[in-house]
This record gives sequence, structure tokens and C-alpha cells, in this order.
Amino acid sequence: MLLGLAGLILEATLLPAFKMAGVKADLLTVFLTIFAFLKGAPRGAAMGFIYGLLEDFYLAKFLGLNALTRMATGYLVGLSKDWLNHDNLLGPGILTFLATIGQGFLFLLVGHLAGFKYPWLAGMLTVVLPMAFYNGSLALLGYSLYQGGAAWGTRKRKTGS
Amino acid sequence: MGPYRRKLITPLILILAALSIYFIMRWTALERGRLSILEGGLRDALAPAERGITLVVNKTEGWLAAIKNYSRLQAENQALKQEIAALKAANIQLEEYRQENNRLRNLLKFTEVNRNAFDFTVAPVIGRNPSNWYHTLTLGLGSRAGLQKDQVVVTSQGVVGRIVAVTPRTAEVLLILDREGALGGMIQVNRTPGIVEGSPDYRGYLQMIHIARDAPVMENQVVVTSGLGGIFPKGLLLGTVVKVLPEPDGLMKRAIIEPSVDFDRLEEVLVITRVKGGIEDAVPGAGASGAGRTYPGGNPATGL
Repeated sequence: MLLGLAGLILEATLLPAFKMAGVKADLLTVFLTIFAFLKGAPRGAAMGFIYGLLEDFYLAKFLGLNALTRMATGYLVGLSKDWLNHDNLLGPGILTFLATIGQGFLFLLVGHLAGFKYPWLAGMLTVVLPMAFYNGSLALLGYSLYQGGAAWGTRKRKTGS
Repeated sequence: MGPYRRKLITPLILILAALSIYFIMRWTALERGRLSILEGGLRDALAPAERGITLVVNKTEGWLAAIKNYSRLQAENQALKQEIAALKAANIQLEEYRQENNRLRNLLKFTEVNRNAFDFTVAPVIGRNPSNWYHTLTLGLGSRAGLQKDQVVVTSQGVVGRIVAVTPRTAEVLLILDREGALGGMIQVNRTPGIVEGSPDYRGYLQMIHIARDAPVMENQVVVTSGLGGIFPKGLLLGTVVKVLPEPDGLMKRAIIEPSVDFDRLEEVLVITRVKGGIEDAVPGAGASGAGRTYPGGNPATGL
């Protein structure tokens, strides 16, 4: 929850300075994918719903749109928990790339139903695809750091005991 | 040689030696450009040894002094490091003030030029939209500072957007880059009107849509607000046409516009809190047709 809030604040303040191909990274999706990959579908869906609702309240627009799409993302990514090895560092990067694309598609689909008429092709090509590459790279980096930290913690505990 | 003469020889030699030394002393007392072979040879022979010993002595003195003053030097070093860090921080702060001063001076110049047309409030930008789908800014002033919905936000470079929501301490500005931030625009030089909105395929650019196929719209033309729609005053700078593309239906065309404002670098903006008389009051004749006129919004070509 706090991580989501921090991600939201960073996206509103710091990340616009680090735009790539005209888009900024979506930290909430990166956090959510890694979380769901580690914790599974039910907790991933719950976290996705909380993150999405937080974002919806912040944006004060189409309330529920992000909650719904992020919940679906968290659930679907969480399904990978049982068939993807957690030691695979590439896993979260690829999952985040695919999750961003799926989430973007779902956002546009539900958005169109709710009245957010963003052009499909332009939305997928100029927003979703660059964002997927950006998020995927960040997830790869973030998960490698997380795994490195976890391994270091385990070694430290063993040495201590 | 008798004993008497032998006794005299020693004093005589001494006297002669003393006299010789005296004369040599007198001779060497004078400034000489060239030394004798003996003097020069001795000096040259001893010079390397002198140099070496002096070096060792000096170094040793330095080391001894350093050892003796180690704690004092360490403290001094620490103090100097702190001073450098403080000076660096002050320098960065001064650079910030300098840049802020430049930005505020530009805004002030803009408000001075347009003081008969509008009332302004300077507001800081405190955040941007976290989503990639919407283009909004959050200002650090709200209804307590007199900001209201639909007030227009500009900088000395041109139009930024309009306020769409206010809280007592913040205001949300919908940028003209957003698809929902469409407004009426026109080509400044020939008054060709059109709707200006954020371009979905040219990200970061605007587009003027629904332009008749035969309309005289071409690259490098300046686009300003048309005043249609009732929110944005007429004549504010929007950007410059960089590309003209035919619409898929073949009947219309659209112009891609590079915005005059760098939306990623905004730190302070001006909110038009009251339109006194519009730009006709600020710049007489601005509403009339023709090129080369001056508008609030700062067409760079006109020097405003």
C-alpha cells in the first residue's frame, strides 16, 4: 500500500523527468507484477485492486477503471506463481512486458465502454508498447536487485547462526 | 746559511704569506664574473652532494612538520572539506535562484505587456499526472488563492491549458496536449480556423483537425487561439505547424503543431484570473486580420 503510494508520488513528480519515447514508467505495474509473481493470483488481484483504486482516487477520473484493469493484471500474473521458477530473473521482466500490454489493451477496452475514447492503434503503439519495454526493463532490474538482496540476507542469517 | 739568517727566514715567509693572502683577499673582494679553476671545480664537485643533502633535509623537515602538525592538519582538512561542501551547496542554491529569477522575470515581462488585458496569478507546478493516458498538471494554489475552474493557464511561451478542478490548496490543469483539452485555434497569418487538440500518434505534439483540403495551411505557420469556445482568449500562442497531413477520407487535412510550451519543464505558470478587455485592449488592432501583429502569448517573431 505504502509502496503503491510512493510509486504514485514518484510517477507524478520524478518520473516525468525520465521519459523514454514520450512515456514514463508505470511503477505501480512493475511493483504489482513482481508482487503477484511472488505471492500468487488471489493476493495479486487484491493488491492490483488496491493500487488501481488508489490511482483512480488520485486521478479523480473514471473511478474504478484502473482498479478493474490492475486487479485483472494482478490475478493473471499471479497465476504464473506455480509454473514459473522464482530464481528465473528474466521471468518478471517478460511478465511485466506482457502484463503492460494486456493491461493497456484492457484499459482501452473498458475505457471505451466508459467513455474514454482514445484511438486504439495510437494508444497501443505510442503509449502501451513503449511503456511495456520501459516497465519490463525496470522489472528486470528491480527483480534482480530484489533477488540479490534476498540472497545476501540469507547468507547473512546463515553466517550469524 | 748562518743561524742568524735561518732565524729570519720563517718570519719572512710568514710576512710574505700574509701579504700574499692580503692581496688575494683584495683581489677576490671584487665582483668576479668567472671564478678560478680551483674555486669553480670545488663548487661543481660539491654541488650534487649539496643538492642531495638539502633535499633530504627539506623533506625530512617537511615530514617532521607534518607528523608534528598531523592532528592540526587533519582538523584543518576536515574544516576545509566542510567549507567546500557548504560552498558547493550554496553555489547550487544560487544557481537555482538565478534560474528561478530568470523564469520569474520572463513571467513578469509577460504580465507587464498584458497588464491591460488580463489579471494574472503566478502558481507553482507541484506535480504531473502519474498516468501516461492523461495530460494534467497540479498547481500549488487553489480556490483559497482565487483560482477557479475554466481559468486559462499560460506562460510567457504560450498556452498551457485550463483549470478543470480545484481544491482549497491545489488546482488541476488539463493541458492542451490532452485529447480532452481541445480548443479553437487558427493560423495566425491567414486566420484559417480549426480545432486544436493533442495528437494521439505524434506524442507530445498538437494537431489542428478538420481543415479544408484547399485551406492555405503550411509548415512554419504560427497557430494562435481563435477565441471560439469562450474559455481561451483570442490570440494566445499555441505553436508552429511542422507537418500537414491528409485525412484518410481525402476531403480534409490536419496540421501537426509543435507546442510553443515545453510541458515537461514547467515550474511556474500564470493563471489568467480575470480577462479585463482581451488582447484588443492590450495590443490595439490585434483582433484585425493581417500578419506581423503582436499578441499576448508571445509570438517570438514579433519579439513579444
